Order: sequence, then structure tokens, then C-alpha cells
Amino acid sequence: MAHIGSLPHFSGHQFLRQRLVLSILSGKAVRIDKIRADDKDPGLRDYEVSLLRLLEKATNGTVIEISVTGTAILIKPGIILGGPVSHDCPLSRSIGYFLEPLVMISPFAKKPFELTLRGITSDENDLSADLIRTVTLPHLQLFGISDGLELRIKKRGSPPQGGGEVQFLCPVVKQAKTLNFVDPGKIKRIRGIAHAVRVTPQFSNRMIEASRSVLNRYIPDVYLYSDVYKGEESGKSPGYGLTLTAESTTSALYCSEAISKPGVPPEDIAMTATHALLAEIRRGGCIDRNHQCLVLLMMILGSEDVGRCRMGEPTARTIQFLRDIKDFFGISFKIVPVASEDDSSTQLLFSCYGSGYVNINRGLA
Amino acid sequence: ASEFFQLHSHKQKKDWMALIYSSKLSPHQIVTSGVDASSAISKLDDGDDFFSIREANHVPGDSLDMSKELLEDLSNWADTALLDSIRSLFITGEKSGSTGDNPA
Repeated sequence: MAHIGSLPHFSGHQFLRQRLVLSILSGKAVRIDKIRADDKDPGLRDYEVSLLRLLEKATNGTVIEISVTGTAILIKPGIILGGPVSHDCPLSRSIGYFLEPLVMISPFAKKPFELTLRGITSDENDLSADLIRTVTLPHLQLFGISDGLELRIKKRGSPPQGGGEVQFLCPVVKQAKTLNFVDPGKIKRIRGIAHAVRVTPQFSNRMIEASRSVLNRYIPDVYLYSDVYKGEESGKSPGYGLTLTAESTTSALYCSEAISKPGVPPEDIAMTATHALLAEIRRGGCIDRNHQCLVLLMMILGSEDVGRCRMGEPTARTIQFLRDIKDFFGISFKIVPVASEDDSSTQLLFSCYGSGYVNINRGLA
Repeated sequence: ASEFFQLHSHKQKKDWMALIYSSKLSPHQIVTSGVDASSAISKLDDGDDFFSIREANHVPGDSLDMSKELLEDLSNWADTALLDSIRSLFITGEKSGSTGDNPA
């Protein structure tokens, strides 16, 4: 039994998800207080409570205590169970909010996850179902998590009404492989998915046209795909968006996305996504900004060997994640600038000694 | 305060390890170093960890726990020169001496 004084303790509502993930993976209880204590509407939001409920369903023996005011929580994690889990996500956040932490813990479950989530499939705050399918899951493959890894978008759902449904299948692994990814390579292909639901399907084509007008100047291998969902499958609200991924010769992936906003023509949405992709490519490194946390997490969970990865500058979220990793696992990264003749390069080499994390849950099955 | 200036004296090469693991700056301050440096200095002015003043870290746009990074200003990407500047990062681009740091 851990003493209260020794367990990781945090304040504030920010970075809640990554702390829950680290708590569950490390098996350490965590206390988080002062959750919006000074807010007019203090305490946990509905989506945060919903996430806690989802984690409770996905694990066995997890004890979650929420204070009366909702401004403090104590979590004693159980084992990651897996198996079929189904969850209705509140419409205040998209499915990505719930799926991202689950992607981080599901490879270390007792049984393979068959997770069904219903709600909004893409919004501008969290990674959309498309991005998770085309970019996040390939990042897991870097660590040897690949057989049977799949995300199916059964129905799309745009905000505000949602109505989407995705199914996430994840195999269990004994241990994550050590990563050694230092050569970003050069961009060889660009892929994209344009979707438009409950609006004219012509919007997809308009987005594709606009995006192509910029991307075709670089490489010929640009294939933008119009993903059509009809009737029941297209959810309850109108919406459209463009998701772009660029792949390098060494399989580094960069991604960007733009989602429809009221009163903005599809061409502008496409341009936002396109320019964001180019900005991401220019930032360089082997991992794009949205996936730094996932990759760093898998690196510390690797076998007892030195893992290395080249990345651009860490984001604010990544910086806090690195600090939280140190609190939970006691591992800090060595971060040095990449040696290069180019002085303006801000790329960094992250290296760490893996914790040798072994999926103990799997042994019980 | 001296610690802060040491860390930021040469802006290009930040000492990320020191900033992340041994400074008390909030993540947002590290990323936007220089912009709100004056407020950051006051937090670092003593070596006494016992009484540390915690500011409510109200960071605009960052208060929602969201995973997509906020898009920066992309308007300059309409410029052809900028579009051409990243050509060397594609397989079709010519290696232009200094920028191609990975002869693969």
C-alpha cells in the first residue's frame, strides 16, 4: 500500500489524460486536486467523468474516488482488462479525446481490446478518427504492435450532434520494441482523405482540387481520396474536412487536418490543411508534433536498451509529459541538438534507457 | 534570474534538459520563451523551494486539454519562395548543399 505522501500528486485539470495513462501503466495511484477550483463552475467536466468511467470499464479493480465538489480525484489503478468494451462519448468532446489514452494503454491489456466508441468522429480539438487510423496506429507499429491493429470508422459523426461510431481493435504484446529512428528521410508520397457528410459530396472534390493545386508542385505521388458515407452512416450533423498525411522514404509520417467551420468555403479548409502539412514537414524530425507523447511513452516502455528518436522541438504538452514520466517512472530523457552543418536546425535527438516494462496482465490469461 | 538568462542567452540552442527537468517554468513558458519572459523571471528568483508562489497558470487557448496543436499563422504559406524553400525535403527536390543534412 503506497503512502499518500509518496504517490504522485498533481494539481489542475490540464494534462489529466496523460496522467491517468501513466498511472494505469505504472500501477501507481495518483491524486489530482484543485481541478478548476477557482472556476465559476468548479470540478470535473462531463467528458472527464466519462473518460474516468471508460477507464473503469477497460480495467479491472480500478478505484476512482471523486470528492464531493469534483475538484479532487484519487485513482488507484487496477489491471488493464481489454476485451469488448463499448462506450457512448458525450458530445462535448470528440471520440479522439477518449481513444488517444486508450491507444496508449491497450497494447498492454490482458485480452485484445475490441473497443466501440460512439460520438463525434472529428472535431478541431482532438485527433480525428481518420488521423488515428492513418497516423497514430502506424506509429504503434514502430514498436512491434501491428498484427490485428485496426480502427474501423463505421459511421461518421460531425459536431454538434455526432452519431458516429468507430471500432478499435488492438492486439496485446508482451513488450514494446526499442525504437531507433534517427533518419527522417525525404517525403515520397502524400495521401489524403476528404470527407463530407450531410452536405453535397461536391465539397470533397473541391477540397481535393484546392489541396492538389499546392501539393502537386512537390511530388507526383499525391493521392487524395474522397470518402463517401451515406444515409445512416453519415451521422446526425453536416460537416466536412480534409486529413492529409505525408510519408517519407524512412516511413516518417507527418499529418495535418482541417475541419469545416460555419461560413468557410471548402477551398479555404483545404488550404489550411495543406499549409499546416507543409509547416509540419518543414519542422522536420521523424515524428510529427501530435505524436511526440505517444512515441516517448512507448520508448520508455521498451526493453532495457537505449532507444533513440529524432524529433522537432517539443510542444508544451510534450514538455509536461516528459516531467510526468519522470514522476511516474523515474526516467528522464537525454535531449541533445542533432549534429548538423545547418545552424538553424532546431531538431533534437531524444534518447532514453527503456524501463523493461513487461505486460504482466497478459501472463494471467 | 541569472539562471534564466543563462538558459536563454543563445536562443537557437536551448538547453532543453535543463529547461524541462530542472526549471520551474511552465511548459507554455518554455515553448514561448522570450514572449512572456518577464513573468517567468520572477518565478525563478530564489533558490528556496520551500515557499514557491504558484501562479494560476491561465494560458489562453491552452486551458482545454486538447491534443491537436493550435495552428500557427499559416498566411505566409501563400508565398512562393517559402513553398520552394522546403523542396529539398521531398525526394524530387535537389540536394542544395547546406540544407541536405542527410545524404541518404
